[in-house]
Amino acid sequence: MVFFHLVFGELTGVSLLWAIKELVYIGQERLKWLKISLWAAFINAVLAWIVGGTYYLFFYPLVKPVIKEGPQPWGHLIIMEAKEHIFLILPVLTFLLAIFAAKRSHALLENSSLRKKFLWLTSLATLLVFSMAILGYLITWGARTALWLKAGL
Amino acid sequence: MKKYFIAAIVSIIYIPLITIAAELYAPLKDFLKSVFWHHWLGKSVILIILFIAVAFISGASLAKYEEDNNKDGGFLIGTLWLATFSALTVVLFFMIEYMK
Repeated sequence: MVFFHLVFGELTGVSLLWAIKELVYIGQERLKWLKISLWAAFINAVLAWIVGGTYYLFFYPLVKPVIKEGPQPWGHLIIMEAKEHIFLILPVLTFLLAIFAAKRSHALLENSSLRKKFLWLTSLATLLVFSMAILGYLITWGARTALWLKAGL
Repeated sequence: MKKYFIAAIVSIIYIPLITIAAELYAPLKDFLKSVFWHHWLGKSVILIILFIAVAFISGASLAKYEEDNNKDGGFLIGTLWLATFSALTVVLFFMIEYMK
């Protein structure tokens, strides 16, 4: 389940990177791909939300006490607590980017100032996605070190 | 497009607000648990409802709104700063809670 959460999360990030590429080399023929990449980012963010949420609600309660009692309790108390809430920004941002590209693609093509601002917001969404990956790694690290310690390793 | 910006802005403000409020005021967290089974599920469901409701209400009241590149640019940058501030607020809050 964590694997699929990770896959959908990474696909969100890759789709956003793809959208950044389309924005940098924008042209009439690329608008279609810009829209597709941003809808792909939104769909993958929603899938990561559903799969990650299912894991968090049904399986994470078994991992949580292990991290809290381990050598890195902040893995849950700071990292997981922050991640589960910051993540909620992503479906909102990716939807906003996708709907904006769908409705205002010609303005993005013609107005470089608007395009630059759109590029900044897309970059922030990308940064947030990859921050989620780093936070996820830190949570896993917290659980892993706790289990290693328990096993006497 | 303006209705989606307003919905996104309200939703992005809602996230740190509900997060901090539910941590500091236990009855709110208990209420979310009692209605939605889990507080995080409650926050997620409310987020979806809030986004749709705000987009619908502001869409109805902004029927005569015309697309404007300058205003849309302002909304894009406003959303950017707000999302950054929201994410940092959540991280800082849990760091402070941890250090207490």
